[in-house]
Order: sequence, then structure tokens, then C-alpha cells
Amino acid sequence: MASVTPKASWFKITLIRSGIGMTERQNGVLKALGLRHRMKTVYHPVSPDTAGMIMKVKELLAVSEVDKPLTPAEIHAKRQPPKGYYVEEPGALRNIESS
Amino acid sequence: MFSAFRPTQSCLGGLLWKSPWRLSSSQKHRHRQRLRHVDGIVEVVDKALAKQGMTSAAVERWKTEMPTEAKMKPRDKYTMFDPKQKSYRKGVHKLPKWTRMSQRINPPGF
Repeated sequence: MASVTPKASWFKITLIRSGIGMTERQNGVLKALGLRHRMKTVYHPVSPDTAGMIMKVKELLAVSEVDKPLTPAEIHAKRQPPKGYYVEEPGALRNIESS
Repeated sequence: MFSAFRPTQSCLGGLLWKSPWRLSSSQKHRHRQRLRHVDGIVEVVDKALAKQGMTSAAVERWKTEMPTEAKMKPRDKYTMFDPKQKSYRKGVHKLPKWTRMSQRINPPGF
């Protein structure tokens, strides 16, 4: 089969229900996925292995397919509220004065 | 009747846990939402794998064995098999951690 290789994609997995009180096996799967606490988001490549892990704890997760994974820093930046101000550049001010 | 020392069941006997016999309509609504949420996850995983030309045994097995929320009968959504009951059914909310578990099918013959 020499067809075009499909573009790689990732699962965006968020833990929305806590694993407290679930079986050791399910908590082990959460640990293996890197989901340490609620609302933690991780990215895993789309593969049968990941799919099997998701299926083990599907009642606790929110899952979507994305084109590229975000880094923890990018996730953090996305969660920040707007600052409420912006800093003007000196050059922009001079242009307004001259016109 | 309304005093602080009224002879209630919990006052006289100590421990008394009451859980209603059936689910309320809002409990049923949230339960359906959870069922649909799980259906959605299985669909997302299955579609993503299909795009890559892959399959997963766990997903395939779920798809063959488990009905989706739309295909389930109300009897299976809101009640489950219980050998101790006269009617062999009890409310699904009697299952420990029922909001974080999948309980969709009955044992063979029930």
C-alpha cells in the first residue's frame, strides 16, 4: 500500500472527573496518560495504544482530535485573562503627532 | 412534632441512609448527557483512528457490544439487573460511583 501517509494528529485529553475511588487499574491508566489532577490537559499521538487507554477511563475524560499539541507554556498563556491595557510604541505616537 | 428532640428514625435508631427508589427527572437528564458524552468520546477516537487507517480492539468491541444512548431503552438507561430484587431490577443510581461508570447492558436472559 503506497498511498499518501495521513497527516499526524493528536488526542487532546482533559480529565474532567476525578479518579478518586476508582480502581487501581483505572488510576494507573490516568497516571500513564499523565493526568495527575482534574482539568489537566495532555496531548497524545493518535494510535491504538492511546485509544485503548482512553477507552479504559472514558467516563472521566473529555477527548478531541487536534492537528498539533500545545506545550504547557502555550496552555498556560491561553488560560490567562486579558491584561486590560496595552503599551503603545513610541514610533506610533510620533506618527500621530506629525500627521 | 417539630421540636429539636422529635423522635425521628435517625434519632431513635442512629444510622439511617435514605436514597430514593427511582431517579428524579433531572438526574435522568444528566445521566443521558453523560451517556451521550461517552458515546461522543468513542466516536472521536474511532474517527481519529480511521483517518490514520488504524483500528483499536477496545473501540471495536465497545461498538459491537454497547448500544448508544439513542438506541437504549429507558428500562436499561435508568435501571439495572439485580438478582436480589423481586423484579430483578433496581435503579441505576444504586450502583456505587454510577456517574463515573458505564452500565448499559443486561446479563444474558434478563
